[in-house]
Amino acid sequence: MKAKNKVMNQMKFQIYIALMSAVLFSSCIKGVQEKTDLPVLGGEEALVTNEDGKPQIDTLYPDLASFEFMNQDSQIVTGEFYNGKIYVTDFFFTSCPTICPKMTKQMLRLYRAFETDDQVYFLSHSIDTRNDSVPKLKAYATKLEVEAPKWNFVTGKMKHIQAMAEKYMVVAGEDDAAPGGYMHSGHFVLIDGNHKIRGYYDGTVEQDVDQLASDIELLKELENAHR
Amino acid sequence: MHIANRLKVIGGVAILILIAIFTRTCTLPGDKSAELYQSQCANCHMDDGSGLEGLIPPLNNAERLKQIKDQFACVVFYGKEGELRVGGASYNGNMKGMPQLSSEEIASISSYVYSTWANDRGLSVKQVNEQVANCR
Repeated sequence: MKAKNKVMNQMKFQIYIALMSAVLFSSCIKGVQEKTDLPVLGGEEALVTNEDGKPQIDTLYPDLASFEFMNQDSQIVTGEFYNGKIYVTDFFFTSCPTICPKMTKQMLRLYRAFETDDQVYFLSHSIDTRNDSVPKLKAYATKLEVEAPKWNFVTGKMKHIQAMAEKYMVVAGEDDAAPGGYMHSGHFVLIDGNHKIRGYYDGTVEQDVDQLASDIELLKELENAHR
Repeated sequence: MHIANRLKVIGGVAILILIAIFTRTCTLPGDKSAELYQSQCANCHMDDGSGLEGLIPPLNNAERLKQIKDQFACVVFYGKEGELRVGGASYNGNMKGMPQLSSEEIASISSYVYSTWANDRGLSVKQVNEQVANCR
């Protein structure tokens, strides 16, 4: 009796360990998730007064449509250009010694994947407005063999660039302690045709960018369904 | 009996610990070359040595690595700028030197780069010192 119980207990223990391992292991394997919807991010609930003068709770979104910058071809780029267009945006600078090359490499991958897709665009803001002149941005883009306006590299007044970073809720600014003199996050932000934020992705991580590519396809479907 | 069992347990645990260390680092403890490459080089030259088209030359080119072996330490220490060609593509960038790295660290990085992409040993510390003393 005792011996049989011991064997049963050992078996239970082994099955338990096997199950736990399977659960732990499967949570480590992360493939691209096929989603059915993308949340609209960045909304803040606020008390507003409606037309009848009555107070109500409404969701306010940052205004991502109002901006004006200059791209690598010396052309003015405004938010209006992106009406009805899906775009991926980030903040970088050409002399960045840390995360930017990886971000650029990943953005380039997306660019090539969506090169002939006229619904999808890319917008990189330089946060080194002192050194990243239009000719510098042009040289950078030319080396990568990418074209505006499909991939706009923009510059402008530092405070305007920083204001946009805040609206996209991405860290970007001067920092003496950071390598290169600027601190910024490696996030790619996905924006829909209505200037709303639909996702954040780590632009230095290939799998995150794979997910972004999948989400862009989904966003296209969602947008086209409304047309 | 008990002693034998205890030894088995200790032996098993020791093996598990060794496996854990080995699989975590994929190298024996004490070999920091991969870590150095990651922290000092991979941001620009990428984890797989492929660089960034048009802007940052690749390192995963065995022919190129063999060509530059006698200046490798100089490039790491002093940096490099100006036009160069690798694998049929031209680059004209500006790599910052890393004089803060020790000769041991440069030798270690070279060993990682050359063993991974040129099937070759890297530089010895002596070779690094000789190169750096004579960089043009």
